[in-house]
Amino acid sequence: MVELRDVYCEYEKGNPVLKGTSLNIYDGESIGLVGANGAGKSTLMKAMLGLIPYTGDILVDGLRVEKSNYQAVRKSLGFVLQNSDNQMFMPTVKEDVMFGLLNYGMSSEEAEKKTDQVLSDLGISHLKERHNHRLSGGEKRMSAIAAVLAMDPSHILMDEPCSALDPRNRRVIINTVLGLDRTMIIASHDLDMILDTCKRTVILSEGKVVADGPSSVLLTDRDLLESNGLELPLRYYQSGPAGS
Amino acid sequence: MSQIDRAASELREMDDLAMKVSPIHSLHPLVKLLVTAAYIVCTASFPKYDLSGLFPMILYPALIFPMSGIPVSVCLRKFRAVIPLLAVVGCFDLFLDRRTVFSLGNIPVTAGMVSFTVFFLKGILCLTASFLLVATTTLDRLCAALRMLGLPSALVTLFLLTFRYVSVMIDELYAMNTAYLLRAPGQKGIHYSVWGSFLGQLLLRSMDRAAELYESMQLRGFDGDMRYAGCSQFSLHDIILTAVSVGAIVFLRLVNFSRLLGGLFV
Ligand SMILES: Nc1ncnc2c1ncn2[C@@H]1O[C@H](COP(=O)(O)OP(=O)(O)O)[C@@H](O)[C@H]1O
Ligand SMILES: [Mg+2]
Repeated sequence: MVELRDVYCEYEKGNPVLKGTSLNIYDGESIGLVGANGAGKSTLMKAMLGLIPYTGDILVDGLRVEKSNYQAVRKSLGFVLQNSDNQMFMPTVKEDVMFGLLNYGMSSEEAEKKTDQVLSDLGISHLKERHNHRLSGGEKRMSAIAAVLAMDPSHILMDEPCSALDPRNRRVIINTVLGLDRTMIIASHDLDMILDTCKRTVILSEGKVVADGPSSVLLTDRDLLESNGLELPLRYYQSGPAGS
Repeated sequence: MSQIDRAASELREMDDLAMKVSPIHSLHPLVKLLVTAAYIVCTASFPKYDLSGLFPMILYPALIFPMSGIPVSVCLRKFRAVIPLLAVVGCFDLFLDRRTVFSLGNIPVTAGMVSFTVFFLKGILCLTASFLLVATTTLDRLCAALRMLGLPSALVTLFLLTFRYVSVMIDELYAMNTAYLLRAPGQKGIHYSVWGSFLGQLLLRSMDRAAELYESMQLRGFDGDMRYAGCSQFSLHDIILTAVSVGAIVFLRLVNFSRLLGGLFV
């Protein structure tokens, strides 16, 4: 379980990006974190991982996110970055997936076995020996997910998992997410994707939680969405754009 | 291709070569590191005029190239910038040392010519040996070998990450250069009036990416100490292989083969 209580975060002094965010994320939930660009979704995730300083409380399975707990917190929260290029830094997919495992003290043989297993679970065994810089966008995203899954985190945080992907790859990612049996926290402004993958939605606007409830309710509320810089999921658009 | 394209693809080309499969590639990296070091020391230590002694050292690349499947042409291409440099540095001997030592037919061969050839050949052989090491060993395995030799972890990690970040910077440079050229058709390169902001942007973008990469490493448990996979123990087999290879190289260094062979026929 992840608890956020009254979290404030700022990059520049006097200009907070998160302004008192409070939120509980229960085990086994899939929760969509939606909001316009700049709402603070990425910042919230980084704060949970201890990548940026914050005030207030963030607890992961009862442990406060602070320096002495980073190792444990980061073991239970896996983070898939928005830009997979910045996530994959080893030359090949295999080495990248193994990187985290070796850091957590696995032997090479164990790590390689685990890598094989994760890659085959995700159906990307054929990418194992491939060079990261030669992968397509979709393949990169899948490899990045593999690298995170290999660490067996109890929670997975994804920042814009479908950004810059074509419809087919987007569908592959959605199906992958649906097949993952973990607590999922997905930040996105692709509301169709959230509707497919998350039962619960949290709307973030200017660093605050402005709505929290079932996706089927929040994501069909045109006025709520539009007042927060979002639009109805495409599938509810039969009546044409707003106003018509 | 632009300069930047070329820099990026050269960097990747070495990566690709190192990932090939061959008997040489699969050797333990420490074997290759030690043998290469021995070869370079032996080759560099030949006396200034000992052309006949140096000659057999060509055996080493002559064996390793075919065994590793690395094309000689790639190696020559990489050296195109260094060869003129070697020639320029070595050529002073040609003018300074003009004693005739022997004649080939009517052409007098001066001591300068001999020492120039020795210098040039030494240079090429040493470079080739280093090239072969890098072209048959991935950076990670090389770093693992350096660690086994007892180099400090911080130093080896720095070395490794420098290479990783260089490619990040080249990526950014490439993207910015493309964006620039698309909006400045007909210009050759980047106009000097925007060099300042271009460089500033490049630095910022590379730093942002580097910071995010570093975060992603931290998230997966990186604590400043790289763990290298796929590098087994230095086995008895490896020790024997190293000893035999180094022995052979030292033997070539100490025994003048050309003269021995020549002696057979005189
Ligand atoms: N490294 C940074 N330095 C300064 N400001 C930043 C930085 N990263 C994000 N911000 C600002 O924080 C706000 C929230 O950003 P972010 O969390 O990335 O939003 P989202 O992910 O919801 O699009 C934005 O206004 C952005 O300009
Ligand atoms: Mg974001």
